[in-house]
Amino acid sequence: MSRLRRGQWWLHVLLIGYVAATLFPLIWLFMSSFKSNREITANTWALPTRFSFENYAAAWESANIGKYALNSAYVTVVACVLTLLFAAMTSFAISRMKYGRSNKAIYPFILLGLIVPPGALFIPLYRLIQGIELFGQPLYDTHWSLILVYCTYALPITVFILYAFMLSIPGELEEAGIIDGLGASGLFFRIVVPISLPALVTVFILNFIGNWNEYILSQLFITSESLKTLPTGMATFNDGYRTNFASLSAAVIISIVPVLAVYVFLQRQIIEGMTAGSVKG
Amino acid sequence: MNKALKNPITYMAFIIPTLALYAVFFVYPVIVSFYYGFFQWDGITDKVFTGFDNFARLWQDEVFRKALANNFYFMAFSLAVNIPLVFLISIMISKARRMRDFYKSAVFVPVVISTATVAILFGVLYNYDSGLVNQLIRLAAPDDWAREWLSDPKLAMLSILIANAWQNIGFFIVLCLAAIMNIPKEIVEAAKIDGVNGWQETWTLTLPLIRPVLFVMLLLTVSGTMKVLDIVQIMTNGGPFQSTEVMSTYMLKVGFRSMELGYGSAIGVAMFLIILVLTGVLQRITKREEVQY
Amino acid sequence: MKKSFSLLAALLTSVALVASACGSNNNAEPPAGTGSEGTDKPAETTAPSEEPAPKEVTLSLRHTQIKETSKTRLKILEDVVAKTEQENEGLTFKLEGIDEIVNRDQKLKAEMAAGNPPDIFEVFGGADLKLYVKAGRMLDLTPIIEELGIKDKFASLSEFTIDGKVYGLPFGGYSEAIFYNKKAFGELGLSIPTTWDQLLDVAEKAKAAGYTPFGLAAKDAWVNGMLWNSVLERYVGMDAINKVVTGETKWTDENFVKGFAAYADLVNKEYFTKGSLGLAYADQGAQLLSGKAAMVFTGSWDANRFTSDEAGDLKGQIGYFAFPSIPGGAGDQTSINASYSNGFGFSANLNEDQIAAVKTFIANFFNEEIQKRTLIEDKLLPSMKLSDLSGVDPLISEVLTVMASASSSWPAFDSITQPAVTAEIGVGLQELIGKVSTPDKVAAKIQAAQEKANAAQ
Repeated sequence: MSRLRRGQWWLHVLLIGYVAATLFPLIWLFMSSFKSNREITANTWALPTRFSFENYAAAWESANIGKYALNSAYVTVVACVLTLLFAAMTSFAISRMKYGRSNKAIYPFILLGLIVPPGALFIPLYRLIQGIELFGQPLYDTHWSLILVYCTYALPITVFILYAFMLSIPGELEEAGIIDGLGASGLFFRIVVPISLPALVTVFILNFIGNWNEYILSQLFITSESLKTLPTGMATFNDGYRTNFASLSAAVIISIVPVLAVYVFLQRQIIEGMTAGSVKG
Repeated sequence: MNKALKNPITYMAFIIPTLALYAVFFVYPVIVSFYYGFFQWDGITDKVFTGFDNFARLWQDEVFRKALANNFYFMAFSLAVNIPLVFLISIMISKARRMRDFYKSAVFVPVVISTATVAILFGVLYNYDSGLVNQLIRLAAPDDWAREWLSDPKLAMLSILIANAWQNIGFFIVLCLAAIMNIPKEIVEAAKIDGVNGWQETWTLTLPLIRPVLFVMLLLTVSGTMKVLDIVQIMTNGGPFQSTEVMSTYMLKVGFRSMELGYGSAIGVAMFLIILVLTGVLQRITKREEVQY
Repeated sequence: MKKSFSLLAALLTSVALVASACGSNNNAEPPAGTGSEGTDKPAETTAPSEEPAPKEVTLSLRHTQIKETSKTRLKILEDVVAKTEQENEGLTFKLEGIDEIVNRDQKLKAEMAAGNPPDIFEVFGGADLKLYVKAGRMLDLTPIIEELGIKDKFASLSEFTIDGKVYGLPFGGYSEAIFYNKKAFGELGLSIPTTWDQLLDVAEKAKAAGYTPFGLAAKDAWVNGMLWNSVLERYVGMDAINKVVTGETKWTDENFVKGFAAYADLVNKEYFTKGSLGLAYADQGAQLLSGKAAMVFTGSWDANRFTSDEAGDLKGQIGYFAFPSIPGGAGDQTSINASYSNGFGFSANLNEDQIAAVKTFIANFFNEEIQKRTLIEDKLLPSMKLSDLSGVDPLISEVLTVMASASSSWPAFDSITQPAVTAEIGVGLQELIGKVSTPDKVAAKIQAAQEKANAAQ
């Protein structure tokens, strides 16, 4: 044991070096969130002279972060859950179910979504959302307009990743399930979903981040002040003519904390899920 | 045996929600955008049908060619630097017996930050006078080694690529690591009994076993780098003097700022076709190699 | 059981979506806020039933004042809206604030194409406006401002006037010249330059003392265009610049090339910030305020920032002077750039009741009181002539004095040149700053783009 540990010191040196380089800009951002704008301009790289939470208070108040964050959380979580559900079902259907010809057509069709540059679609998409109705209600200026579009644009990459994982699930597991009397949906919910948990968590986080930070579509589809999402608050401090770096850095720190919390929480879930699985096996 | 997996109702129920959303919010706008590509149109007044004129113009557009070359530079750099780095760090983290969770969380942190923030952060780091990069260079080397990172046309693209790598590598590491950790213990144990060890294990065992994820990474890199937009737009907006122009930034400039929505859409169509060919080639290559194993 | 239910639900949802998507395109139903009367809020005034109920009118108003720095301007707008609502029973405004670039590039453009812009919206005079008018989307305001008697009160309506009709009203203006560090000028014993040679002399001395003569952030093309535009006007005059779009003058004409060469001269003498091509605009002001740069050439919109706490010990030490004259140039040597291009436009779809409401909005917004308040609180230059200028910040006073003493004023070049030419000028100036091209070559490239754009007209 101690022999192994001794043999690993260089590994840790390299990894810690890499991690330090990775985290440095963020640590600097964190430090800046306690400085005034003047301090940031004059002593860019120095430590803050005092730990004041003024920037956080200013960011919270003037950017309306509390309300925007709740909206963002709602839109982001609902869109992510829908994406995962739909993408996992579809990936299961086209990777495991025996409809060869249709599967071969659907998979590349969905992958086309990875290829199209989204910038080209803003105008047609906006006009579509303005004209569309869901259950008799206009979709424009509702959270559902964002949820459905975020979900759609997350589907290709989600299907792509889940499909790859599901393809690699050994057939024996399925066979065991079938012997236990499970149908297709039973196999999906009882066997494939639990096994794919690490992949599901990974894409959940990927989509969560994308939705959490999305700005342009949110500006296009949402007009009511009470429905706006977090990036609108962030943009408050960066108007192109004048960047309020102090408040901006505080706002960025506030905005990344929930995402990191979700990541750390889910990561623990994966580990627990995996150990639970291995005990059973 | 096969019956359980041949249930048409479940099958339809599993694919229809995806396809329906996809058809409405994706396929329809794509078709509309393609359609615009055949018109001379400012986006507001009446469209004039011009057939393939926009595409003929594209063929001779030097800025577009420069942009395309930059996209290839972006792709080549990401394939040659990012992917090997991702694999290397993933292997290292998977081999670490302590602090694995810490590393896993730490490498991921940059991923959660929005591109706008990344661009601002690196703008500060790259500043000629006060930027940390140049300050470190001035400490360790002659002063004139300091560079104008984002405003030297020879370095601006590289500077963007480094910022982009910083932001994106974390996600790929987590993906790659998940695949490595997913390799059944029995296989590793069996290989160890056969006398395979250390780096040998990495090359002969890990690499082949995580092929599917490597393919995912390759394809995401190719499509992602060919349609890259935000980071370039915010860091340099294609400048200085269009030396970092990529297809997406050019498309938006032409389509919205110069009010040539038709031509802008044609650029979008061209991008689509180029990426389609590239990913097709990628799929071919990986398939052919698979036969060898 | 539960599972099959969720499957069914998913299926139904998707079918409903597709169905409604198909139906909606034919309906082409206008979205909320296109002038449908009183659909949303029941007005607060419905209670007393004896009185004839006031007609309910809704006006949607799109603004872009969503940034921290534009809170003052938003507050003023909100006050005017509240006042107008009070004066008109049954009138409701629906304010909508969105990102300026998203609005200009995508949202407003898409709405203009579909014919359903908001009732009131911020719009830029110049190229954007021309297109919208051509498509018949803009309300002709001429009768309204004539009726209100404010047509002659504006400093200039030229950027919103097409074929003699006024399609928008500027709410503020700006002017561009040189802001400078008074403290540095004092220490170095420099006086305000009035000729090009004096300016070069001041720059040389500032450089020798370790200052950056001209702070510059050249990442965005429009920033470089400002100083160059003034140099160019001094060399060729406005008439010649106006004529490039008709082909009567060329960018390759001798005087034009001299303009490019003078700009390149500043670059070659290393008077601009090093690494400027990678810097975003916000950095330029920071260079002046941190004491690194002795001067910056920029617009009056920065006066607000230069008088803020960010100035630190330079607070009150920032001054403003006119761009010097260039002896021998063909332009008006004491003229100044001044533009009134940020304004409000109104939808052509408005019905009579809405137009009546718009009239009161215009009367409440475009008057001396609001203009004065904007000048004092937001330091935005007034778009209307003001009789009383008391209580104005000293730096703003300097700006107004410089403007008042100018012999004439002219709009920025990009309100004259076509968008494609503007883009080419942006690239060309960056090439000069990056020292990868020559004035001759840059002029030739711009002329080529100009000829293409002129031919397409």
